[in-house]
Amino acid sequence: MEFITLEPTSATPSISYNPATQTLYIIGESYPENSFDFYAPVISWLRTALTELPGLTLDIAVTYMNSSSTKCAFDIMDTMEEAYGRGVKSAIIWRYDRENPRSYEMAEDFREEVTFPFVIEAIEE
Amino acid sequence: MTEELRHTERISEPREDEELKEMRDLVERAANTANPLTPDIERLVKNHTKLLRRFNKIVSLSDSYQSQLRDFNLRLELMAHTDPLTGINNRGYFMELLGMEMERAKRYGRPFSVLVLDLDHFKSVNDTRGHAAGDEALRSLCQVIKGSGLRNSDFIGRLGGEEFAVAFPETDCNGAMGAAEKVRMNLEKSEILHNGSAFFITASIGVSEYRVGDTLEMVLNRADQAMYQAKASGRNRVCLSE
Repeated sequence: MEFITLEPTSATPSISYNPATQTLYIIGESYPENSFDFYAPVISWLRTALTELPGLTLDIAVTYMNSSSTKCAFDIMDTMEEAYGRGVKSAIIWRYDRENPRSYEMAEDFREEVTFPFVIEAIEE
Repeated sequence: MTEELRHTERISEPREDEELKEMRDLVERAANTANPLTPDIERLVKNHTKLLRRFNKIVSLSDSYQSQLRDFNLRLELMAHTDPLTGINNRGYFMELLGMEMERAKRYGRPFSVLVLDLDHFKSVNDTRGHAAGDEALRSLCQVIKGSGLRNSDFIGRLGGEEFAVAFPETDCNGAMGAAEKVRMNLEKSEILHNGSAFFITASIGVSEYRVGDTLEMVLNRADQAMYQAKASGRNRVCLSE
């Protein structure tokens, strides 16, 4: 199950997958012109991966998202939640910006939407 | 904070819009009449409720991201205006403020004055005590200027290197001379502490008053010339432009 790594751009995060730890990384800022196009292959890959893998961790450090990216983040979380219901070990590590007082609260808002393990950690400098 | 609390409330309890209320009534009616579609209707209502809640959450999160951007912009704006070493206005912003002040003075026929200040023998502070001591002297100078009874409307700027300026709105040259002399005296007796040793610095100051027809450069140049005159006549003094 090959994952094509996406390099970061000024408007999109880097997305990569480490098969050894079954971890999907999303790092950077996210305001693509069309978030649905941008995230569609990621969500499609995720759907397949979650039928084949025993578990998957999403390690996300995104300090800025536009509205449509936020919607896509929820879609990703819903996909993981659905898999969790089937016994897949879904987990999220959400990294927030210590410098930004809103960042932690926003992470909590995302956490409220899932029932699987969701830990909030500071972004390491 | 109150605004943020209100946001939180809105997320945890999605607004009961009319549509949702209607759907709940429908579920109730379906259940009461033993309608076979009841479980399907319940599922639809559940999905709808989730979507509504999600919608509210996305809107509120987007607001938070936007506020975050606004904060960053403010910080960036501040950085673009500020001299990082001393925290006072940089040259560009000082000139912008001075430009506005000049327009005001021109329109209402009001006076304003500026002083230009240059530290005496600053190079030797850097050479003998090191650049960190020089930096400390510059920071100390700014504290002295601020602590010399400036009014809220007066503003300071770092023009470059060891050259600073203060603008005094609504002030003629006599008032500005008084303020400049106060700065000079306070600076002269202010001890600068660096690496356990103490030293003193002095400054030469030139003052000029805005004259009708002046450009910004003309007012500042005259203050500059007066400052050089203060240097030439022995430093640690205030001179008024001719």
